[in-house]
Amino acid sequence: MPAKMEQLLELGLYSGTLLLGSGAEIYRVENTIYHLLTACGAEVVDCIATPTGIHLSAHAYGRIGTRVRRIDKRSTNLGRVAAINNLSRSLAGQQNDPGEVLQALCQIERDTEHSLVRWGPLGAAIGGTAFATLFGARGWELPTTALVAFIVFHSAAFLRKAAIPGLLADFAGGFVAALLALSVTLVFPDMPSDRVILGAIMSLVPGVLLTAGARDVLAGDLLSGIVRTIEALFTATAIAAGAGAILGWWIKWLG
Amino acid sequence: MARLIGPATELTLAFIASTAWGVIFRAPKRRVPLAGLTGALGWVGWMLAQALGFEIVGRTALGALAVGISGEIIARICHEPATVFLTPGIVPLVPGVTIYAAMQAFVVGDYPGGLSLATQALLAAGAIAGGLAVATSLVRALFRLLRRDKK
Repeated sequence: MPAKMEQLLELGLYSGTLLLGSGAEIYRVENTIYHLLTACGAEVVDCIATPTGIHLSAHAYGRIGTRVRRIDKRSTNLGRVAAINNLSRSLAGQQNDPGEVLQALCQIERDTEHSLVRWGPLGAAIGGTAFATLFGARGWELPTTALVAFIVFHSAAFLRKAAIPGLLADFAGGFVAALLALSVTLVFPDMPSDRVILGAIMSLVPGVLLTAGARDVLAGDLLSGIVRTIEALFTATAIAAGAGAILGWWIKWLG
Repeated sequence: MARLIGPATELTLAFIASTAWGVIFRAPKRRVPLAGLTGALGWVGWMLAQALGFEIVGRTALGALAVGISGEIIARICHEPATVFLTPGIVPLVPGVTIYAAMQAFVVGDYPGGLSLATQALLAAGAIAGGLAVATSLVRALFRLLRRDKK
């Protein structure tokens, strides 16, 4: 198979991998692959994307090529989704070389590779506190929520980096949140812990899965829609179970 | 729940929460404030439903509808995928309080209470999905009509 064809297929799989790994909806993944490949001279493009893999078949340069790729790393990077979307938009209507587009994709991957180490925990602290205040947290609960949320985000990120399965990391996040919040009440017995825990675990909440799942179902990608919705349900259950485990023991022994 | 903070404060808090989640979800930097705006506009829907006497599911549905409409319109104005605004925008609507209360009930052995709260949370999550879906279709239809008028 000629090198150009290989590049074309790689282009499709690579863009799809980046999009699926960033939390894009299925129709966006399939459309982007279609548009990118068509902009590089493909005549027929057929693509099936699921949250865990891509099947791609293209007819170009007088040949037909088919590839399958497994996706296992999934996180959330809306900036990457937006950047790839813009790239695909800018290529439309002209003849492009798959190698060059591939390089542009590599550039996007590097440019959008923001680490969450610096801003993620801060965002979790501020956002979690705002959420807790919205639902009734007052006074000293606010700084406590911020601190606990900060630590929870760090610990969940640390566990994910250590290749702990996502659901276990979420369980641990709920666990840490409840443990810290209840420990604070040992020192300040007047402070209710509910909203502190609530605000602290919010950064783990599967908002992307919920939104993407709903949009998948709407677009007719039932398989992916159901998979994502169920994953959101599992995640929420894992977080609640983590917090509940601590809460249960606490009530039994110290309540 | 007694109202302890004014509507303006609530809107600000929703804005802050959605902005923060824009950062956590790594939205494009210059779009992060707009993601916050989407969340605040969504909260308008929530407060409206609250004023009309709706409970959590109704509030979430109306909130998600508001998030969906504003997010889709903002996305079309700045030529970005709608997810960039919708995903951080729905965060203030996520039924965290209800899920937490359900968990608390299960922990103390109140299974009927826990199940009832868990059902509410599930319906609220469904309301988010439904609200977003309806909003997306509405905005799509609206823009199709506008485009037809132009031609």
